[in-house]
Amino acid sequence: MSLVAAFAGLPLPILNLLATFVFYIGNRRGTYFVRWHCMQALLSQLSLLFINSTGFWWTISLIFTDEPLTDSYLAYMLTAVICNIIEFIATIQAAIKTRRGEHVEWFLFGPLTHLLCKP
Amino acid sequence: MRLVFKQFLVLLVGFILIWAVLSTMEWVKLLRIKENTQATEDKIGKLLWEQISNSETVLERRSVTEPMDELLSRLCSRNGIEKSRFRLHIVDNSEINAFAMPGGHIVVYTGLLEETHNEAEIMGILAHEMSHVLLRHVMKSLGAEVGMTVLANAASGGIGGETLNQMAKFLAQGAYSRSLEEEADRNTVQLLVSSGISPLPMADFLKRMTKEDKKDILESEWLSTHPDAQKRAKNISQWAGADTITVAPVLSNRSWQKLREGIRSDDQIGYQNLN
Repeated sequence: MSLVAAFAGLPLPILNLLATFVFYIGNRRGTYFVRWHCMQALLSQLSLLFINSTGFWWTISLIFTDEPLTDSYLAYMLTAVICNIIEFIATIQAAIKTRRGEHVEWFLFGPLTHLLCKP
Repeated sequence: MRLVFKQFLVLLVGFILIWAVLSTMEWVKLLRIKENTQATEDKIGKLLWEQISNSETVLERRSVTEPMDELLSRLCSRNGIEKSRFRLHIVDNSEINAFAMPGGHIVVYTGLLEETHNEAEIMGILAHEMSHVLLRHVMKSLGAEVGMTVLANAASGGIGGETLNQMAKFLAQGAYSRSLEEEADRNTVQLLVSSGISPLPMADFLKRMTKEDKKDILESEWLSTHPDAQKRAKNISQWAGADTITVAPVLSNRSWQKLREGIRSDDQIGYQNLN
C-alpha cells in the first residue's frame, strides 16, 4: 500500500500519509505485530510528509511568486529525493521481512513506535 | 524517550548536513537551468506568435515599424538591456491593446497607438510591456493559468492549436494580478526615467482614458484588465517624483508625423520585423 502510494503521492505529499493512515486504520484490529509495523510505517510517512511538503510549497512559491530558483532549492529537492528513495527501499525490505514474520525495527521510528503502540 | 530524542536529532542533523553539502554545488549552472528555461520560453513565444500572426494583420509599414523600433532601442540602450531580448510586433487592429508574450514578444495594436498623443506615452506603453517580460510576469502568469506541465508540453510541440489559442487569448487579455501590474508600473517608471523620458505623459494617458467620453475605451482589453487606471496614474506620478527630467525627443518631428500617418494609412509597404 505504501509503495503504491509513493508513486501517486510524490506530487501531492499528503496522499502518501493518507494511504498509510487508511492502511493503519484497516489493520488496527490486527495482531500486535501487524499493528506495530503499520504504526512504524505511518510514523515514517509522517516525517516524509514534512520533507515533501516543504519541497512542494517551495516549488509552488517558485512558480507563483518572485522566489528565485537557487542552488539551495535544488539541493533541498535532491536531499528530499534521497530521503524518499531511502524510505522506499526500507519499506520494500521491511515488507519482505515482515511477510516472513521477521520483526523489522527502523532507526528512530522503531523506538518511537514502542512508545506509541502497546500490546 | 531519550533514545527517540537522540535519534531524532541524529536524523535532523544528518538531513541538514546532506542539504548543506549539496548546496555547495552550483546546480543552476551545472544543469544549465537558465539556458534551458530561456529556450523553453522562446519556443512557446514563437508558437504563440505564429498563432497570433495567422489570425491578425501584422503591420508591415516601415513608417510605423522604424520609429517604434527607435523608441524600443532608446529604452533598451539607456537601461543596459539587450534589445535582442524583445521582438516588437505592430498589429493592425482598432482594439486598444498591447501585451507581452513569452520569449520577449511585445504586441502593440494600432488602436492603442492611435490614442496616444506623444512618443513618451508610447514609450510608457512599451516600457510597461517590457517590464512584464523582464520581471518574468508572462511565464509566471501563464504557468499559473495553464500549468507548468502544459507549458513544458507546449515547448516540445505536444499541445494542440486550441490550447495555444487559449494561451494567446489569455495573454492578449493581459490578466496579471494587481500586485504584478503594480510591480510592472513601478519598473516602467524606472525604465522611463533612465531613458530620459518623463513618466508623467504615461500617467496623463491613463487619466485621459478614464474620462467620461472614453467609457468605450475603458471597456477595451488593455485598460479593463489593468487595475484602476486612475489609481495607476496617481501611483506613476508619485513614483516619478519631483525630479526634473530632461526630456530629449527620441523621434524627429518627421518620424513622429510619419508614424501617426502610418497608423491610420490603409496601404502597406512590405513587412519588416523589428528585430
